[in-house]
Amino acid sequence: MFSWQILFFFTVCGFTVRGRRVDQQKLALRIDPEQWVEEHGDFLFRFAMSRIGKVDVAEELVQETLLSALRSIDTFQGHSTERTWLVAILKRKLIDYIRKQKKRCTLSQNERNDSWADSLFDERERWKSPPRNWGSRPELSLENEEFWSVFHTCLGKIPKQMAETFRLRELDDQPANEICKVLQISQENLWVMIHRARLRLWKCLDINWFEGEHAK
Amino acid sequence: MNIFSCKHAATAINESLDGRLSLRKRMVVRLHLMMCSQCRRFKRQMLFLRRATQKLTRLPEQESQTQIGLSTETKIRLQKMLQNRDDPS
Repeated sequence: MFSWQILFFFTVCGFTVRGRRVDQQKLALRIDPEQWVEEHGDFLFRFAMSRIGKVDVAEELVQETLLSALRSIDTFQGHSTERTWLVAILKRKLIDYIRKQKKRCTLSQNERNDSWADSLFDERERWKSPPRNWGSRPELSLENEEFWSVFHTCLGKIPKQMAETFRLRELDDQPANEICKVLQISQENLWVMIHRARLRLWKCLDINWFEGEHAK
Repeated sequence: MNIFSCKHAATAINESLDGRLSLRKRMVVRLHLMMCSQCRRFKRQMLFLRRATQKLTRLPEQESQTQIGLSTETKIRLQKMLQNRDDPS
């Protein structure tokens, strides 16, 4: 009985190892730097543009990403797709870029009080205008292209540093302490800014999307 | 934290999204939500926002509605750069 279990164990192990080897071979074959520009170039460029918004910088970052990838091609483990791997490198390049920018220009003044957020509440700290009904199935909006266009417009309306913090944290999933280092802000300040950015995004979507027919 | 303050509740709901809500605040905000339907709605909408942001992260293709891309010259330049990687120059 016991030996059967051992035999079963090794058989399973054998299959797993063999399966993994085959996978790695497949992935090694799939890595082809000469296809990178064609397959991922535009995607990486758009990604960089969405974070930086300057064509020349975005192009430069894509180039640096591809060069970096080329240099570290042996470290590609095949745990992710080629694109995910390239995006991860690009994200590091973006962080480096933002860090350098920060050194060059002085930080914009962080407002201690956010009068905009305060204006949402009355003197008794109740909602001035209560949150509107977003309909029974707001998630349907996520499938709507128009919604995303409004979403991006709203993201664009958030004040610069607030938006930068929000993007790094919520979109790029960077660790809080890393963002604080890059943007040279305190942890407390970081969370306050993310909070404010979320409120602005919320209000903007409320007014520009959920008000009217989309809420039905 | 004032139990009757929607402003405090909104801050607490935000903190809960980041997993930074202390046990004490969690109790207070739970009580507030029990009696305040407006903040219950606000919380649902913030969770929706979180879902939207997460979806955006998974589908960065959608980030740009206008299908911008690298210029042809840049593509050729990058292509050459990748092809000549073994060159000693």
